[in-house]
Amino acid sequence: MARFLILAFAAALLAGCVEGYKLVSPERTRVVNAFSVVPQTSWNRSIHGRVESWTLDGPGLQELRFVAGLDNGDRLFPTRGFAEPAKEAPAFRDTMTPIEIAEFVAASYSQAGAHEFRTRNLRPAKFGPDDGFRFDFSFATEGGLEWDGFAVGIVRSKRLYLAQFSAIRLHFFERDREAVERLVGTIRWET
Amino acid sequence: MKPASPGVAVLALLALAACQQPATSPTLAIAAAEATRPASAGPPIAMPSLAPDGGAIAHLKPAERPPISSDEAGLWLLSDKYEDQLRTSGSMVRDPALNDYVKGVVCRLAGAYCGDIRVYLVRRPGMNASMVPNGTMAVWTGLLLRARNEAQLATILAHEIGHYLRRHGVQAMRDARDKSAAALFFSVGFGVVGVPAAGDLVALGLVGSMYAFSRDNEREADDIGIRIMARAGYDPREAAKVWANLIAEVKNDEESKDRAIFFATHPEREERLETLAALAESLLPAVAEPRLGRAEHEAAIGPHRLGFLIDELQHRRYARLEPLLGMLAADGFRTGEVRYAEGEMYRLRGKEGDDAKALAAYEAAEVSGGAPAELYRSAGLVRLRQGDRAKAVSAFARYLELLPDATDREMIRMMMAQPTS
Repeated sequence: MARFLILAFAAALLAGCVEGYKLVSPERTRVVNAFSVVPQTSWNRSIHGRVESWTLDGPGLQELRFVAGLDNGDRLFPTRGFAEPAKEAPAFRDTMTPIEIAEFVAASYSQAGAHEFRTRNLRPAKFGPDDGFRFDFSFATEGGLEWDGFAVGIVRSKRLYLAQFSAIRLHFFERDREAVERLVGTIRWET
Repeated sequence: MKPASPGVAVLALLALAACQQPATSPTLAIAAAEATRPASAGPPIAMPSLAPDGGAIAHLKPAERPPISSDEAGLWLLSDKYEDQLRTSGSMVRDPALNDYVKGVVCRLAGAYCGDIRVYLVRRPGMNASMVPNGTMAVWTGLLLRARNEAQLATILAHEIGHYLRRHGVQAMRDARDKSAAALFFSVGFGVVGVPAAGDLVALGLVGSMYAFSRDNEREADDIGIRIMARAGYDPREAAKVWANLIAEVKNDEESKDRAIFFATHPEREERLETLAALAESLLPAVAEPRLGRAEHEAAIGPHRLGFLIDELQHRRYARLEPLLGMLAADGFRTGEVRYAEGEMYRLRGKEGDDAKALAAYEAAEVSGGAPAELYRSAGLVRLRQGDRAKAVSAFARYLELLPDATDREMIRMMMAQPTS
């Protein structure tokens, strides 16, 4: 999975549609002109269209991923590997319930190469000031590393917004989880 | 599918690609396997004779490793590296009983080579298995799902053993080297094993020429495989059925590129079926009690089938899944689970008319029994989509009644409490 994300990023970088990593200061920061958050420490971020990938130590160790407005028919990972369109990847539908969105995320990650992607603890949760949902997830990489994560999301004006945090279970997930929970708690709409 | 490292690419290529050996008579050191045949078995089954083949590569002997100074030894080192990666892969199935079952079938087939072949179960949808030169066999769970009995599973495993015994890997390497196509090894981004990963190819022209040769390898592996399975007492008539079932599945997937690649790398489907069917008839008299092993297969695979079906559903290849589910439902094993998966397929696909098909499948699953409680949650989602809120709430309530500790109970309760929009 991590390898997939890195490759997808590298491909997008080559295609000129991705900025390299830039430092985010610990102050209120806009995320793809959709909402803003307040990190408590400096993060590295790269922007891929409507998706931002933030990391502290590298995307192979942890990733905070913001999806800022998927439209009907959009895919979470639009390509496989370097450039091949992921024709069979599941597409978001704006009529999806939170249950179906969790399924959509699970299928997207599975197709992208995650193994044993499992979701649990789907429940109502705030996304900024609004009522959204959240769920926990776990998966393993091809190399055998186990990752844990959680996602907070909402469908607003028929667009899907997600803040997903995932990290290697060993050390990184627990180390960073609380800080990310606080960061996600600062989401504020900017549109 | 992850792009493979060059080493893995080489191995994957060798697992897939062909040798340019002419289709000389295969040679097999399978005599030891003959010694393991039950006494009740019929007359010995003749392996293709060892004809003078003008320097064709010799068969592998039990416990044989190539001399360290040989090119083949280098290939084995790469194989060892691949095996290390496979061993620690996140996709490995660790369940001891399932591993023991598949390994047992392999040993029954391989006889004296049992100790030379290491089996790794890979949790992955799609029908696939592969063998690399050092005896590392990877078997996808999608194959376990599709084999309808032990004899069908044995068909594929024996085919892979045929590749190993005939050292098709080193043949392919030498072939590619002779064709000055070594660069191809490093430019081909195959996945670890098998046909579905071939979508990652580059250099299609050269690969195409490799595929043309691979048909000879595949024919040879078919020929050896069916004899191995017959010697082990399996009903050889099941061999053609495996391929017929796969063809039915792939034919339904008109837009799949896998379809074209699959049929390009394997013998023509009609030819293959006819050849295997004819071979089966000729071998049958020598098999005293042709074994299907249906009950044994079901005992081993049954507890995992729903999980494997969910893997297939996550990959959303509905066109291939539809005929497969139909076949599995007809088998009559754990029908409630199979019909539930069918309902899930229609619910997730969401084409016009699929909601009604999903509900029908859920109802059939309910009647059959044994379906998971999630059936009611899914039925509730379809009812919501149809705008039938009362039936949706009723289905959700049933779900929570059966699974009061469901980890999504708070969300379900919230959905039940929402006013009609």
